[in-house]
Amino acid sequence: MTVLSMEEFLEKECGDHNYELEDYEAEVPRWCKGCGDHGVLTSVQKLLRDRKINPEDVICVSGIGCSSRFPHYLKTYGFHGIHGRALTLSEGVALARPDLHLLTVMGDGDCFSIGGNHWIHALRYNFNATVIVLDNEIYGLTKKQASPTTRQGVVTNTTPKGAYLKSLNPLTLMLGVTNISFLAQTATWLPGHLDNTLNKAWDHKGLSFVRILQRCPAYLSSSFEATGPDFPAVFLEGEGGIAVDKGMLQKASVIQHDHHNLLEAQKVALTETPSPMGLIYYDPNVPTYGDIRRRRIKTLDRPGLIAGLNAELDKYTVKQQHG
Amino acid sequence: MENEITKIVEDSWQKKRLSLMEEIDRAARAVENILTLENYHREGHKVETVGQSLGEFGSHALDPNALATLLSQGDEKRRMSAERLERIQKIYRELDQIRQGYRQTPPQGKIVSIEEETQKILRRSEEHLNSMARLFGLIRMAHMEVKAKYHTEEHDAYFSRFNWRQMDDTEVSLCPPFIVWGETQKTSESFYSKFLALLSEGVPLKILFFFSELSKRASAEGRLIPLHGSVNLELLPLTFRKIYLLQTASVNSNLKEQLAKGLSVPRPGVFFILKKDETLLSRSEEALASRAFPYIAYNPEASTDFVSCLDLSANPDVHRLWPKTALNYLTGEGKAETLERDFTYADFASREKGLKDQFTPLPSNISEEKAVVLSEYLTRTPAERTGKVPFIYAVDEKKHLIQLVPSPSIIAQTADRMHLWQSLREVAGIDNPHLRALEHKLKTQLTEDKEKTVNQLKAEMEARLKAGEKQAVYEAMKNLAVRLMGLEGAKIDIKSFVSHALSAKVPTMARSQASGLKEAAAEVQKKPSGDQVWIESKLCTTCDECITINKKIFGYNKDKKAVVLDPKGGPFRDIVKAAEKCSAKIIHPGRPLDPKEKDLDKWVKRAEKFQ
Ligand SMILES: Cc1ncc(C[n+]2csc(CCOP(=O)(O)OP(=O)(O)O)c2C)c(N)n1
Ligand code: SF4
Repeated sequence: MTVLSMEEFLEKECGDHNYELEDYEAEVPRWCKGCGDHGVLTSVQKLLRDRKINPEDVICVSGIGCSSRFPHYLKTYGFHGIHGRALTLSEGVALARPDLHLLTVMGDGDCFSIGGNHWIHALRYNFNATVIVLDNEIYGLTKKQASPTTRQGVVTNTTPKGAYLKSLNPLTLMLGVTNISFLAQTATWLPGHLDNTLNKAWDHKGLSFVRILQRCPAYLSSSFEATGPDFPAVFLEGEGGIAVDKGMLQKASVIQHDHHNLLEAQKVALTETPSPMGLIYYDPNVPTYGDIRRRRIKTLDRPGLIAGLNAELDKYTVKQQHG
Repeated sequence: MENEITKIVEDSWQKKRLSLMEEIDRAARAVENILTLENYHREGHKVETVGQSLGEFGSHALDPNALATLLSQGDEKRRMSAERLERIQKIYRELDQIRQGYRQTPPQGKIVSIEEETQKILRRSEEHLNSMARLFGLIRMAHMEVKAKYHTEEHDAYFSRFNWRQMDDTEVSLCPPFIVWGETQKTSESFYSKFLALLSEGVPLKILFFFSELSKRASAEGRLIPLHGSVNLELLPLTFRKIYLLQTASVNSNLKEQLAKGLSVPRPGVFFILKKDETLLSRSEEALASRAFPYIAYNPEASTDFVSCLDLSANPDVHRLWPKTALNYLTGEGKAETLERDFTYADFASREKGLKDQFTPLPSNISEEKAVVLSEYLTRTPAERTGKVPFIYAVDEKKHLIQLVPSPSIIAQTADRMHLWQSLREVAGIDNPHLRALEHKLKTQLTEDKEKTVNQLKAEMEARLKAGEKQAVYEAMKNLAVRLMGLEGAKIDIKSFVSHALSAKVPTMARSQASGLKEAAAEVQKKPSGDQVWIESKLCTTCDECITINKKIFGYNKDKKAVVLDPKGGPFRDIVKAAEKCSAKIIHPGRPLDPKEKDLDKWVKRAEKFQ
């Protein structure tokens, strides 16, 4: 008789089950009909189903916004955080639970605006996570205020005379951050491409950042040329990049792109019309922050550290005076 | 003796005990968390609890009743079944009970004497392991409950049968050790067969055996009695390849560490230990050197090949039959001198208290030619030995050098030790006649080959030199140099390497060919025949627009892409509205099916854009 180790036994009994989409569905999404968030949720659920991933092996962390309601609807572990702090919470999760697959979901306001500071540092830390930003170019939850990606001239509640500034290009910004290891862009109206992009990002060890363009039908239904095939986009094709399903080709044309070349990537990122879709930059060799820290923990002299800390704190001990 | 063993076991088991406690803690905490969460789902949203959470101030500002009603809406669905709750509670209770018990009386190794009846020892060891199996079964169940993967129909039977033979290596190594101990003096006649019986069951018990006496006198008939009787226990790994074996002296400075490791291996283990001898501290060192009690460590986990599992490296001069040691003596004039000699088993025995009478001075009438040093005598054939008298060097009370002749029994025992040592070295891959022959053969062949190639190349170079072919000479010189350095020249092909490097492609940016697009068009979903509504489902973004308008006409397939469920499921109006709302613009309304529908003309017109 072969003896199964505890790990093997648990793997056999608890792992590798066939799942249905329903196994990853929690509450009925409260998003408006027509919202791009639905499609992203389904794409994530399909990825989990096709890879037979146990719901309990995944954690979804978000900030605040319509899109940040994601963890409520995805039946895995979840953490609906606070506005702009999804990445800080994620970093803690990545360090404490490296065994879980971490999915971080944010809106454009959540990530690029209030969370801008954390965004930059999270990229540099390169912790292990699949990070997606559902960019509808508007604050949805609070009903139509301008976000950093709102286009110039768009009328919103905070810019009644039309947005004054040119919109922020998050792609070029990210490609200036040290340690960036994975950057891709896709859109909800390119469903097959969205699936392939999430799959590629899921496999990357390090922080894989995916910006997903999507329409907010309620407050900015005109955005992205109403998401039709008219929105000018171009697919990036390169060896080991994100495959473009043939069916998608009617939506945009294809260019060759070397995603390992940072300068090339910056050039591609700079071009907003047509919008680049696919793997923009990829460097699988950047070490993750978790690995770097764990390597140190092994050599850390804990008792020595605690003794030193105690000695330092003892300096501030208030002693009772006698007599 | 038993106290001493208790201490050894206690020392070696301490660290593992902490790991075991941690393992129990981890499992108990995991199920405790599930229970806490369940308790929250059952009690957390009660009016009183909500009121308490709001505090005095909050309770005035908000209505705890209303909040409790609101919050508890989904609770019913979140609760686990009563059956599962009961099961988890039981696992927790049992784990906690064991944990509390262990905190009061830490789990300890069991120690029994080898003098006990074999079947009784085996029974007790299995009982001991099975009590641990119950604990590990609970731990496994706890981890399955965390993942919500425990299914009564499938797993109850498995766990009711779970015994120590199903435990994995880590689990076995976390069990307190089961020790069977014995010593040489007490050994009864049937001891060896018992030894074999204990090991052959595969139970991971550990036999700790202590030696003090290392030499045996000849029996009445003068026949040889080897150290461990007629069995070579040192070669036990050849019979039981899966056991762990350690033979060492208790003065060995690494003993504690080695025992700690050995006692926790998840397999049977045998430990032969030479007891400390207060009278002569150097004795164990000499016993080791003379191969009377060689150091042996056999760890089947070390590697997949036998040779690498057997470790003799702690013995002095492993590459020799006997190690060389210095014998200090005084000359007739009182000058200090040193003699380097092979330290054999007989040299060791000559210093043992009870064996002095086994040695007699070399008679003075024996010629120098007839007297042969024992280590050399033993390597000769019987024919070469005839007429020779073997002797060893020693010093008398005045430290003068003397020659002693060992008794036939000591000579036989020395020969036996030598043979055993050689056998050990052979199985450990240190020395072996086949290896020696192969080494010799390879060496000669290589030298011959090398000489031949070098001569050939030299001749070629000279010939080319004569012909004045500069480039060819350079090539030949390079070949020669490479050969002389022992490299394989033919493998370095510089030319092709360079040209390959130069021809490597540099990626370029280019628009893809129109052919790709043509293929793409072929992939796009075709309009079905007929005039009915249809959807390019592949391009659906799952945005919910169409199905919110009419769930009977539109629905999702198993990939959550919208499809037409029933074109007659609702008015043409709904179909057109859906086509207008569709975020991917992939709904094509077709022709209306009910000609009597109100305002049909208007809808048909609006549908045109999407056909
Ligand atoms: C610290 C803080 N500031 C402001 C808010 C208000 N607020 C909630 S959501 C949101 C913006 C949401 O926009 P986005 O992140 O783009 O997500 P979307 O709703 O569009 O998916 C804001 C400003 C808040 N909740 N917390
Ligand atoms: S409206 Fe269009 S994109 Fe949205 S679910 Fe229906 S078919 Fe799919």
